Amino acid sequence: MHNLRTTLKACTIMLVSTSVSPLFADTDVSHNWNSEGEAAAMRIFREKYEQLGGEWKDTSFPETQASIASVKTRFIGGNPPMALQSALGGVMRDFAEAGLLQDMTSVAEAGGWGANVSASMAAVGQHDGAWVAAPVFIDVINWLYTNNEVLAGAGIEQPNNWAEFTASLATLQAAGHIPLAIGGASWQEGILFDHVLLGVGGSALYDGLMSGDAAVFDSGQVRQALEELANLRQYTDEGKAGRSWGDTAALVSSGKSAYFFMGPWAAGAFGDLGDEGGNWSCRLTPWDATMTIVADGFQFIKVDDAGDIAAQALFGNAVMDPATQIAAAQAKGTLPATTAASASDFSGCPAKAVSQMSSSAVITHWNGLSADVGNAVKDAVTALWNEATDVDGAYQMLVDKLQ
Amino acid sequence: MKLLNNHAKIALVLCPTIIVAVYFIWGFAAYTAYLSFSKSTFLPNHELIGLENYHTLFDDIRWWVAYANMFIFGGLYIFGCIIFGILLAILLDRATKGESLFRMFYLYPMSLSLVVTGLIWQWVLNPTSGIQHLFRSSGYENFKFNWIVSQDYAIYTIVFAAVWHGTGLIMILFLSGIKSTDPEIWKATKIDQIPVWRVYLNIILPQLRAILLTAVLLLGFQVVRSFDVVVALTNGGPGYASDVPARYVFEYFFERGKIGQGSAAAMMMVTTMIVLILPYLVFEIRRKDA
Repeated sequence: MHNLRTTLKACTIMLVSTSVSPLFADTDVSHNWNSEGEAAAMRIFREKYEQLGGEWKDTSFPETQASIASVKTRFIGGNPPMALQSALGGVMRDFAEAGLLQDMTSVAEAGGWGANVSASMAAVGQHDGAWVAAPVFIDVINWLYTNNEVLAGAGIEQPNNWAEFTASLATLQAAGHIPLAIGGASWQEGILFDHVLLGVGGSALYDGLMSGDAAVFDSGQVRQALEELANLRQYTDEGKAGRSWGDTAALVSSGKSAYFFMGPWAAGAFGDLGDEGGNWSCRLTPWDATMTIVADGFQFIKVDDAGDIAAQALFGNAVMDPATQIAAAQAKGTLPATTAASASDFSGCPAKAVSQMSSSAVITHWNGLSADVGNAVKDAVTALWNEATDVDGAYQMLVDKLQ
Repeated sequence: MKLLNNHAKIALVLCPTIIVAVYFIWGFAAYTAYLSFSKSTFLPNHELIGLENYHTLFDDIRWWVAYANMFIFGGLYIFGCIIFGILLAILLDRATKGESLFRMFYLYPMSLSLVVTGLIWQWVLNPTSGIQHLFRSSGYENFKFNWIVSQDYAIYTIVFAAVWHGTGLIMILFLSGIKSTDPEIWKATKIDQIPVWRVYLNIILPQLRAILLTAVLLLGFQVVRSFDVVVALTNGGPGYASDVPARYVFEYFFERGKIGQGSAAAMMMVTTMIVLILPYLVFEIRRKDA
């Protein structure tokens, strides 16, 4: 008994004497921009920030989920970064509603952020009327990459509508190719479904489904899109399970496969084939004049220290500077949020996006909507695609979660 | 220099361990239990909502796939490791030459992390780059081995990889047990002309009950916390066919911002473990006392 009491006493003394030292916020930026183009873009933001007098620190992660999880944990631990790079939209709303974000309105007004970007991008950077994030890039997600040598070899023209596309798949397969390259993650399957939706019902169906509009469910188009999706499975290869998007892009660049649906980040994988328009092409979904977009940018995390707040203001003004955004977008191969950009600033795929912007319906991709919407789409699509359920089951999952 | 008496010294040395164990293990477990009844989504929220998270969890088809997989994987993994481990231990015990060489050979997988194990087996099992490709490119056009991409069989590929990784440890446990049995037994059974396999089966192995308990417990914990091998091998796919509870909890906790539902799933894991292990522990402890 005496032993136990001594032990308890010693433990108490040890606990009490360990004073809790105050934690300092690191003025770092948490991000997942690691690929060549992304790192080059970050370097341009960094140089601007340093030029304005900031001291650069960053923490990088292999993927955005890890970066987001780390920021949450660090916030609870009292040692958050000053900014988090992520897709803006659903994630930002969650962060803002949980009280993790800094009100940057005074900095934004002084820096004229609202005038630099379009009204819709300005809305993306705000929550309840307060600036909490800096939208820097507009990622247009719905690209179709094609290997033109493979298409020509099989005697196929570039498809311009959904029917032409689906009809060409069997020909490609007969010619010994994998018609459609896809990897094995639910978000990749979700991106494939984007193009199916646009093929079946265009931007009206896409937007209607994401917003849970009962009319699109009643129209039978959702069910039709799921049937079309299930029908595409036969034109893919067995190796797709667990395959990364990078390895999947290599199937197309190496001439094993013809078609690949992926976001703008995949364009760099085709560099070995020469310039765009020659042996390979990138096209916005050819069967519907729609752009599905996600704004990418920096969320400002709530910090209290005056020095940290000053650093945040510097960083915010650096990344919202139009010339810096354009240079960074060129390096990353995507579009800047600023309206100061013109098609002549870009070449290749981003130039196509800029020139088609005015003639396209611009809608938000599911990755920019609330996490519940994105997860509902991905869950239903992955269950159907991997034959865990049938069209009826997947349809019911969408009805339950979205309608 | 006698500032502290012996008791105080021992107490001081033990304290860090006790504090860490109580706070970081039991404290966090209790907090998880609390969160499973709370309204937590994106961040912990301490408002209680009763059993709602459990209702959502039980309505989720994905959870039941992951939960069932724990039993399929766990049963086959524990059974496989122990059977192969015992067989290898007996073979090594019989071997007159090269025992240490073979022992190293079988133990080698243990030195790899489960992530590496998962990646290696992913290459081996992938139909377009592994075994199937090898056979097909050497002339067997119709050879088919695509379990890793199959909705129904993917979970078994995780068993392959995990058994390959875990057998060595179990072998060593049993080998040390077999080696430490009384050599007189062998002399006696030789005189009585009892076949060797009967000596192992009816005399030596029954003496190793304690080792069997250790092995089952060690492997059981591996099953419940299995995460890395699944992430590296299939990442729960195709779809969510080879998902396991630990991965499910991680995804809901950190990626989907559903901390309440993730905590409820974690509590289900703990509860299942207690229900399964407790009777066995009690049985073994009673046996020992008796």
